[in-house]
Amino acid sequence: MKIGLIAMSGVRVRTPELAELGITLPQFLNRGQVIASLPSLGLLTVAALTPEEHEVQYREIAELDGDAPLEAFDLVAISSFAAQIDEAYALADRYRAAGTPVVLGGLHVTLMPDEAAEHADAVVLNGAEGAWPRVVEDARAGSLAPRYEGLRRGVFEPEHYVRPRFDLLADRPYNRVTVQTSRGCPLNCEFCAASLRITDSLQQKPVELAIEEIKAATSQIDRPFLELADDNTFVNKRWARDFVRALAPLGVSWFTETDVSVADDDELLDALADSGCRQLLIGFESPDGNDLGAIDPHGFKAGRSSRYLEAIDKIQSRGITVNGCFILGLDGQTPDVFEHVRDFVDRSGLIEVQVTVQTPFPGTPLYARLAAAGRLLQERFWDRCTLFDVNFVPSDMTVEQLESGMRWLFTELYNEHEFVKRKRRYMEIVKQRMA
Amino acid sequence: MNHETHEADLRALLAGIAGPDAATVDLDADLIEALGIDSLAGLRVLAAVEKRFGVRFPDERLGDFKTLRELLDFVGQGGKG
Repeated sequence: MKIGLIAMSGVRVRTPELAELGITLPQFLNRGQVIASLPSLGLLTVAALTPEEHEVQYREIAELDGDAPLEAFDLVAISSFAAQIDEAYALADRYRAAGTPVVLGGLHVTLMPDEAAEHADAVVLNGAEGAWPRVVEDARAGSLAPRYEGLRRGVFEPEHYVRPRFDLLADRPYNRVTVQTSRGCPLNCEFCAASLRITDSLQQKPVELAIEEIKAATSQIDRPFLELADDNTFVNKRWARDFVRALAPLGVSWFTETDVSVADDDELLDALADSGCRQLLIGFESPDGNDLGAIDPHGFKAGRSSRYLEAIDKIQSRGITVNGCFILGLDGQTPDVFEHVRDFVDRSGLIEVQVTVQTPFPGTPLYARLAAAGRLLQERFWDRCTLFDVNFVPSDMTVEQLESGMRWLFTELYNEHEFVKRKRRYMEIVKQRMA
Repeated sequence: MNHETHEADLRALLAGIAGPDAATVDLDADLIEALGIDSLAGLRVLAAVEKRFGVRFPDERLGDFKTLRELLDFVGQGGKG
């Protein structure tokens, strides 16, 4: 069979005023471009799980001309996040109308399988491991089942693990590659629509396996920048130290996401500084820590918020930039929050900042809570799950106050003056470290 | 220090951040594009130039120094370019 793997990517803000703002604010646009330029690790894994006798073609949605005839495949697999799911469904419908069987998978499909099943011959829930080889076999036999359940644990065990087909990226215009070292996160934040929804517990890849994968991934691209596709890379500090020390000799510049507890471990921070780590993305969510409520079920972030400034300084003084993330519209936040975030960012010396609006992704506990309280603006708004469009009624301000406050904060944080200030701050840190 | 020495020093400094291609990169090539470095690496280059040559790029013009020639000219003029 000739199997087409089609990746959906890109962030497109729907609120016109925000879209317009995004075009004029350099950092805001940059992040969207970076996200859009990452290959789909999930589909590269699906490719690796495909028995060798089948031909696999990897495509990005942007490569497909919507008006042109469909590229011919014997089987099509599409993976998408919530924001692009309607485009994925439309493409699936076209292929099915042309007689090509379609399989849908990924996070959104796992959380909304009944909806996805209306646009697919089969849906794959959870990871592709443990499911995809059966899908291919059944497709060849012309007897696809409507639903397949992939593994929720043990995905990195030798009997299930496959190395993603990074070779499919050769000669493509990516300058970043992604590698996953873990799935899941013990913090279990209410809003999270990431890999913890497809795992039962934290799944950690052995260091040797992760390093071999990174070597394979980075060998496909000239001067690659590595992004770890984890939700919280350094949960296990002993693993983290071993991993970072093993990564250092590869000479790769890299980025990952983690929580603020990384700053508690000086040994790990020193190893990170020597490893080519350029940036850590950390979800602080709120500068105060007292309005986290249900999104922080274990009180992890609330308990550490008084030490955020110290943590940022400890990390950045080692030449590693912190991309501090904040969520607007949390329950309990009043219109004062916009100035609080602006002031905190100013005091902290953060070199990168990411501000998003609380987003009730379908299938998350946050969605269920807001739906039960009648606080969702629409029942179905998946194309607005962009992290920048408001989809719910805040508890202590109006929708309009949240939207206008967010626009004000964007212009405060993402203007040329602030951009230059952050650049200069980074350069001074670099110079200090060269002393 | 003459222009050739500055250029050799700059290429060595660039190589430390961007790899051996810096030895042959065209004087007028956009360094970020030609050497495939990310924007943070671009800032590390500027920081290293400031440190090595005792100059300071004007904050409002950090984005203007994109080529080796522009860096050389600025350094050659003692940071007054």
